[in-house]
Amino acid sequence: MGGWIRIAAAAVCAIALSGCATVRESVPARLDLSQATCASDVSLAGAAVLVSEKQGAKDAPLKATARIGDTAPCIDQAGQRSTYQVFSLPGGEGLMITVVSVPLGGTLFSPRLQLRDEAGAIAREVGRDMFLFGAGNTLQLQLRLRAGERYAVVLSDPKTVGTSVTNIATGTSMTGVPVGTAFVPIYTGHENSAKLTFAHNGEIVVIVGAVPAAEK
Amino acid sequence: MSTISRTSLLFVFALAISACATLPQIPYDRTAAGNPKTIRVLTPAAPEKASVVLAATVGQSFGLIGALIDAGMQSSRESDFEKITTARSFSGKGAYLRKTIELLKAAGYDASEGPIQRTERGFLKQYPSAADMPGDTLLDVSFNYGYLAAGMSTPYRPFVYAELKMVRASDKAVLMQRTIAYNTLNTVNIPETAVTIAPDPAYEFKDFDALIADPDRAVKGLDEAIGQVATATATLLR
Repeated sequence: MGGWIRIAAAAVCAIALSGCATVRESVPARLDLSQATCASDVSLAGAAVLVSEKQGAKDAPLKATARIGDTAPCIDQAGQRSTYQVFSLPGGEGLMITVVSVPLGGTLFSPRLQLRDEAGAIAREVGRDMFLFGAGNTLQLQLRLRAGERYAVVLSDPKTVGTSVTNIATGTSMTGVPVGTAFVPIYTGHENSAKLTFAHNGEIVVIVGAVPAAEK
Repeated sequence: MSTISRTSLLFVFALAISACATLPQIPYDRTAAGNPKTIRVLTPAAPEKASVVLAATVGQSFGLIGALIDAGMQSSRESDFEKITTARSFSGKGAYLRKTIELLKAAGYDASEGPIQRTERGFLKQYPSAADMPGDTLLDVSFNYGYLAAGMSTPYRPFVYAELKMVRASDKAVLMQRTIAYNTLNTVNIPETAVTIAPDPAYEFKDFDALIADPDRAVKGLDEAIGQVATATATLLR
């Protein structure tokens, strides 16, 4: 096999695999915060900072990934307890934010969102029902950022924690069977189902970038 | 390496690249859009006849001959399925319009159909003028729907793949552009931030014969899948 063919084949594999979610370890779902020490409001200290994954690239999206685990801060509002993670947002116009809750095995952080201003006051709240499923059994939300929104606070939604959902995913795959100097592709279909439990813990990814142009 | 192998590799590479050419996802912001009151849901771009797709077939391994055989079998399945949808007066476009308008009204919009004649699939190239179609916004939807089995040994389930674009009626500025996929095959082929909806296990048919043998449930499954896409549409426009 020629060198360029190997490179092309590797590129194809990389492209194909890049669409798949990275396999993350499974963690037990944290469903109970009754023993946690919770404050009455969110602390903005310890906000995660979004950074560019492409150093030096102008207008590249900024991204941060955070695990919300057993030691995550929590708040208690009228007996409703939530864990949370704060993200510091860049200023600017024409930006949008994508918030993604990524499953860790069968555990999926059940998110809701607050956008806060520089002083920490709540500018906008977005409920759990606005997060919709996306590829890889993630829960996702996209919003256009408004002027003055400088912090994103991703909190667990106590009303849905402990509930679960089973998602069925369908797909096809191709394997090559060598025949002489060529190969014959054999296509097969498959299904997988994933039971996901909504929890106070999990992994959150926040991405801020420019609203894309509408052209396809 | 043989010419056939090179060609095959290039074909796979082209497929991989084409998967990247997906619709940019633009979120809606009701406030930033000027709190529009009226939405005209344009008559969707959708086939009259539901697709009935067997995604992985033996024929795919046999080039053009296999493709022709597959196309014939798919056409036969779709004709059979059309008989049961016609007998029940089911329309995919009608189901989407009815449910979307109902849900948008529940969300506080003055929503109604914007009847248009379409000549091709996909989004409109030119939108009706504000004089021809009064309203604050126009919702342009293109979708495909039907039943899908991933392979010979996996069941048929409803699928819907929809692309949505909302424009301001006055200047045609794009206010929202999203993809919603119910029962997506291979999620690597859709935008990373597309909305995906897992199929309802209540509407599972072990093979095509089972699908045709239970026509009421088959049509109900499709109707509910389109209803789920309408629900996601309304959620994205809150």
